[in-house]
Amino acid sequence: MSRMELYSPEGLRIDGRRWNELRRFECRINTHPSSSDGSSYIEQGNTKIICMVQGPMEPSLKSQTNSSKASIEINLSIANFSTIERKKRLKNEKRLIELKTTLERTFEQSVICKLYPRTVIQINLHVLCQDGGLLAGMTNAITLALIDAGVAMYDYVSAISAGLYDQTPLLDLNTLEENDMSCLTIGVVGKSEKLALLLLEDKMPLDLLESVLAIGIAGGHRVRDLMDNEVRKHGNIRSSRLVDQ
Amino acid sequence: MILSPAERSYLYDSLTQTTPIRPDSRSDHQFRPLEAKTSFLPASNGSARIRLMDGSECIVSVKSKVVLRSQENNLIECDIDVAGHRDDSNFVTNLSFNLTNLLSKNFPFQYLRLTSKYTFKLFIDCIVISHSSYPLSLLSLTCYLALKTTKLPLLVSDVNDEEIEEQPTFSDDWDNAQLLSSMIKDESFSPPIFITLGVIGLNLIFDPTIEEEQVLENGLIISWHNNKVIAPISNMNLAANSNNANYKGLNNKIIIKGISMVNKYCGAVTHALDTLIEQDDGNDGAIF
Amino acid sequence: MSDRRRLLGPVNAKLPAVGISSDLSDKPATVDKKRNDEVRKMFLKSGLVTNANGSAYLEVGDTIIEVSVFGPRPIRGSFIDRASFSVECKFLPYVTQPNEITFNGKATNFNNNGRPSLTNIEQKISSYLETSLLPCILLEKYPKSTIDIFVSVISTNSNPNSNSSLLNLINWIINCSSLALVDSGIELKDIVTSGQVKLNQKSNELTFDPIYSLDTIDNEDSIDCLVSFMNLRNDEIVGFWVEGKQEELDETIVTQLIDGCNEMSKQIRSNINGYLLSLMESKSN
Repeated sequence: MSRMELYSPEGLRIDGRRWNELRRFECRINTHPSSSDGSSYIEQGNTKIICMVQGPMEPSLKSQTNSSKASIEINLSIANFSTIERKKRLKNEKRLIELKTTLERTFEQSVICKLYPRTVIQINLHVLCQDGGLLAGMTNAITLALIDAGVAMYDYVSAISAGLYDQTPLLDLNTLEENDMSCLTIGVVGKSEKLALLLLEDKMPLDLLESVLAIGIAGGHRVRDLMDNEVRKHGNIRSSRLVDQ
Repeated sequence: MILSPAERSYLYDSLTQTTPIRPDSRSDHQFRPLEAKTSFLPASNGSARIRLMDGSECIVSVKSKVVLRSQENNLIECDIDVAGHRDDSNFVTNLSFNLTNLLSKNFPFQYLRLTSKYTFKLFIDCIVISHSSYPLSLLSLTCYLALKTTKLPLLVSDVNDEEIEEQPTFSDDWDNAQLLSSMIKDESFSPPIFITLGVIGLNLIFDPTIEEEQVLENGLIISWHNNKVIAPISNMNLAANSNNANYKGLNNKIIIKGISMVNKYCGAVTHALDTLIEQDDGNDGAIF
Repeated sequence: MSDRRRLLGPVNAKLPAVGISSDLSDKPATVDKKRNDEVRKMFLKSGLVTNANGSAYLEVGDTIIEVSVFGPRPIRGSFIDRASFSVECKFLPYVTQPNEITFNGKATNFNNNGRPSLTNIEQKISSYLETSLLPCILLEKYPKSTIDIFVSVISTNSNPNSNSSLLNLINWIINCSSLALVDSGIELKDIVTSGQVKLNQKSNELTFDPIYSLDTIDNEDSIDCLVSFMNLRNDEIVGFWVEGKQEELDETIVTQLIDGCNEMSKQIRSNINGYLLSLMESKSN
């Protein structure tokens, strides 16, 4: 094979999926019960992310206090070993700061911040392994961890990446696909078609954008269901424990 | 948790008894129970995670790279990232100094050698996700597990490349990869570890918790390798802030006592870790 | 960015030609020769830095160290019942740091205010000093204040690939810092002094204050040991560091090392005491 074939004429992608198929999506909540108020772990294909939420709590600095609503603080750490080629990352890398602000803005809108005035909600993300869909994975991990922490939210924010190969929209890209085509990440609010997050960093023809968004929203709904299953499963385990007592 | 003066005094008194009474009812030479998982990162040669019951957690990855022997001074590079601490803070740099020092002095580098020109270099990346007590011992135990389960690809090209310009090539089949511990033939491979001991009164306590650290009079860090105590040994203030009123000097008898206690009990620590690796065969890739 | 915590000369200062003699190249490199149980001669001077509360200057062999103590200084903000204590050790930029190839990596880190942050070795030295000096200072006498020690290593001869010379350097820094603390008038429980020995395991030979040069390499059979004491308080050990290569350390070896360091520490202590006494005499005259 001289050139990598991202999408074969038979309609198969490099890892054998069809255009509208998700990668394996696994998630767990309440993974770190003793070190955080809410925690989650997600695997989206080979992307593996740990998320821990502390709070809502009193801010360490008085100056951070907002008397009308909670402030959300996200700390992003991407492990040096998360990519195939090891790379040392600095904490103040521009791209990371941008991702951080994107996430902070998304969740400031999705969490009912006005219920927690004068508090800070601290979110720590640890990316252990990345294989495409980094922002989507982080968004899903934060949603789950916030649910575990019992922070009030309007609805799930389920995120997924989608790209455009020639004329075909492809769902949930891995690294190889992400590097070779224009892609966007969307965060869907619950079962609606509202978006809490949209990030498109390269060009995409306007007339095809709608088809990419449509597949993305469908994928987002699927991810929401998978996360909802896990949350309910965990909820059942907890309530059965309560009954036993 | 920061203790009140009354709590500190109570804890101090119970720890200075002839047989110390520890808050979690451990004996003086007992470690806290831990939970571990190995080989869960597909993109690393070796990986391990240890979690203690108080929520302290550490993840270590070992990645290898083929380098020219002539261009590298250190064949092991450690990098430590502690959540909530700056990379250039005194806390993090000291952890990384200690770990680099221990590993670079006590690692059989000759087995990393591939050909006359090339060798493997190991990158050990540690993330401390959360910690309460001083995490050096936790870090080194996790490194132990990660190094023990590190697999390196099998070399298929010629070992002797002095005459010909050839880059080493490896078997494509990951099932052929060798465990680092099986490549080291003439000795059983056991990476060095650090043991933290707290000094209080005439007693020494292994693996002090954050509450115990606040009343300690001093701390000892002892290295353990191949069933014996080795250098480096040093003392340090384990409490995070220097504002520990109990902190004072050591008697030389305490240092000697510490060494004999480590000699007596630490064989069991490495043995327990080895058993852990044997039992952890379900490599399903899931971490939790 | 200039470093405002140290005394820097004026920008257009001219370097005096002190100590530079033209016939340096003609002489063969002087190799310090000394007996194994002998400590090198040192030059001590206190109170050189006038705007610090206390300071000391020490020269021994090729090693030159300057220590300034600032404090007790008031702190702003919340009340603390004991003084907070910090130590910062820096090498002058041109000085080769012991074993820097292993520990410091290639890149120099700059923190937010443009000042290069401490290297791993400087941080490690700073923590050893903090650990060792903490027990001797009566911090509870100085509530709501801070005591800061700044160490500058002006010159030292060390192998960038070996650890041993690091211990020797720290030994002299400890001794110099103690003198600076005495000079500052801060209340102390005792003067901390250090000893550093090297034990050759094959010949069972103990060397006090071993001399390192650029080409000293770590010997497989030798152990280096640095111990800091409060000799008047029952030889209490405040700092302890054993370094060496894959050698088994049993109780007898460690006892031997500690005893050796103690003896050397006492020698240095009597030297410092002698200096302080002569200082008293010259003041009273």
